[in-house]
Amino acid sequence: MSRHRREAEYSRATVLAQVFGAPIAAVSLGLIAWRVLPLPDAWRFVFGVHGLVPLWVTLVCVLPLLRARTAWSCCVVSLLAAVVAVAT
Amino acid sequence: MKLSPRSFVIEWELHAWSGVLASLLLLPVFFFGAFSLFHGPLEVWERPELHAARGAPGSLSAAFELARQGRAVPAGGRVAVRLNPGTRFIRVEALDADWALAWAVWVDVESRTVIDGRHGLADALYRLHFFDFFTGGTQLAGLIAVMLLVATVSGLLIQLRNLWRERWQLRVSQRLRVWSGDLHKVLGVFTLPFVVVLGWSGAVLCLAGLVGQLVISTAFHGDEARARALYRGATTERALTNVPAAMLELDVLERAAHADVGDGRLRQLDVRPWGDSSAVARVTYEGAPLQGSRVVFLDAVSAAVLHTSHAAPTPSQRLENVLFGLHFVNFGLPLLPWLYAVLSLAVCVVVVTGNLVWLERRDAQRARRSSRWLERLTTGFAVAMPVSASAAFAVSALRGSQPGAMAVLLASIVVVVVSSLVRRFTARWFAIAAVLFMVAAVGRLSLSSVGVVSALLACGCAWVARRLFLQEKL
Repeated sequence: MSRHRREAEYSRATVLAQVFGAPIAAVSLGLIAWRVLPLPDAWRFVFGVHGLVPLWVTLVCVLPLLRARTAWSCCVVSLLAAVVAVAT
Repeated sequence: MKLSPRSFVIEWELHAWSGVLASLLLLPVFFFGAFSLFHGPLEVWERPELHAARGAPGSLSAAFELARQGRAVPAGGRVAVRLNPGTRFIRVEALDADWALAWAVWVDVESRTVIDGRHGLADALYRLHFFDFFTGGTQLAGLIAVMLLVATVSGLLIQLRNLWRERWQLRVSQRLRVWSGDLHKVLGVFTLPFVVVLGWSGAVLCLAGLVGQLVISTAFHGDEARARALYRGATTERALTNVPAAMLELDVLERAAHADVGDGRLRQLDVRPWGDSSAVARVTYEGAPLQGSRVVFLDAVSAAVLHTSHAAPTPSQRLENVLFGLHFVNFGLPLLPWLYAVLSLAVCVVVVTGNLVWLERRDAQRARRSSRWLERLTTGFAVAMPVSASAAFAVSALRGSQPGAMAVLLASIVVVVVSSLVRRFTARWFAIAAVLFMVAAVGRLSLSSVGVVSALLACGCAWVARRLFLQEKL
């Protein structure tokens, strides 16, 4: 197990992505869902708002499996996409 | 499904850290949450006058007039009347414009009795359940709920390959790490659906304010009315006009709402902002299981119906009706609160055994000082829950409903946790809790569900104390 533990060791950047990147990415994905899903307003609202907690939890569990750079890239890309979606 | 060794280690670490960091605060959430399921019976139990009075509650307007004698309703504030099925007394309360409680009384229209209704034991236990006693406490409870969900999902992922094989494995004769690990896994698996539902709904309830502000300012560019319309179907919020207006009698408002609802048992009626021409009356009736309460919004000056929650619920309302119905056990079966209470206590056991397993695994040589501190804190918090609840119950049983119940609860938690940091008194504290719960159970000479709960908890604490005493002797 020690070899796997050494392999599994992830950087502080990954932990930061998990703690701070996950909620930011979850909110961003919620906003994107609200803007782009081809559904009636009331249903887009459900996915955008009520999907926040499950998304947040999923991201916290999935992000540490990625490398730090990939994890942060996911967070930044989703944030930028949300900014564009909200602005347009 | 089997995780790769690397993924397994990562998810194990995530499970351990999220669980340990949330553990101490999860204990009050679930322990006092179990009592919150009996909020109604507790309100009646802690006030003997309420227990004696059964039957129809009488006129809401008459109750309000009796309550108002010698008390002023703050301008722009809120007036609420609430019924409790366990008594014919009606609770009347007034809040100021900042939602701070101005006064609260229980009124019996028949005997014209008015008694103090300020927050007692039932409210203190309920508020402690989600840290509603300091600014930001509710949001902290929301974060704890998210961490609980993370610990649950990661725990499920690491246990998935052994889920079926170890579903009943409980090796009680083995050493601490083995049996506490078994107990953690078995109870963790059986409480899994309960924890997921309670964690998700709890996070939504506690973080709704924050998320709402965020959503309104970003997705809706500050258009609160549109967001509310999508959320609730229509907005019933009105801007304060500062034009004084006479409010209609509460009975008139209730009759108007009842005509709209058809049949249904009234739970609450509130009017806000009181005395203003923009005042809205919100009349709440019990709804069908998992379909939410039926709420009628009326103009408090003309009794015109503004909106009804049950006519065409939005998808958000439908989802929340199910989520919150599951959280508040609003699906009609009388034994379910008891099942929820047992599951809540089981989650407390999962939390404590999780910490013990982690400490045994991380520091098998017992060499780290930080591990010893966490061990003592875990023990301290685990013991503080029954001791604080039993102290508050005993005080309430002996002295009647006291507004200082929250102080009793918090002070006992601090005393027990500090004493656990200094020296181990675990068995003695459980014995004290057993005695205090028994005092609470026999202090009120009337048979009620709360008395039964107290007696059962006394037996449980006595059993734990005996086991610990025997262990100390060995």
